[in-house]
Amino acid sequence: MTVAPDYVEPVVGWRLWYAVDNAGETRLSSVFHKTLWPQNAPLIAVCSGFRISFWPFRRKCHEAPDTSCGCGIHAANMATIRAYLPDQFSRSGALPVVGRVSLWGNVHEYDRGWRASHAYPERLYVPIVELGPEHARIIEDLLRYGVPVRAVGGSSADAMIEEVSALAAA
Amino acid sequence: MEIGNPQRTYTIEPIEDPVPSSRPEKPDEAPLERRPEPTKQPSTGP
Repeated sequence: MTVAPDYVEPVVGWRLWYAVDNAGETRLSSVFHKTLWPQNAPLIAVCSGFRISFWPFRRKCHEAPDTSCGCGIHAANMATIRAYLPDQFSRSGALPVVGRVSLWGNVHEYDRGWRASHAYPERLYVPIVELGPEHARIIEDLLRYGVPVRAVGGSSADAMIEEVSALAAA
Repeated sequence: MEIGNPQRTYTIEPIEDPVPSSRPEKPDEAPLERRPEPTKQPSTGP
């Protein structure tokens, strides 16, 4: 017997990624874990378990997300995302990418966000401090996710969030 | 990421696949497109 789902439309939240180089191609990477987000396939949450190097046991493996754990693919509201952005973007270093993300499967809702078992980017915003060939290549690579990618002003996090919020509300 | 306090849990099975099947051909906007060079208009002399 199959159990009917509660909903048939994905939840859409906000996320922060880093645009990282992977074998010469830009990919989205989670900020807190070095998880590369696949192109043209959902990211499926896996709990890495509770590991301490000198402790011989691991917490029991479970499906992600689980109520007893903080695992799962996270998304949040825009105010929460803003708190994790650097105030000023630099021309060098990891490039943060803000975007909307679709969440589905098993979803745990919180008052400022969600944890889910399945996720895929829905729309990406790339802060550009100074447009050059490198940033153009990054945007071109991110288009391989098959979702809209938009360059936004990258002078500061506040300016970026303001622009992204206006675009999302339009 | 700190997302506050748990509210509820549910399951979602999207009718439409959230993973797009085709790739956008160009960025959402055109900030990367080079502006066309201004073309010189032939001067119209008196």
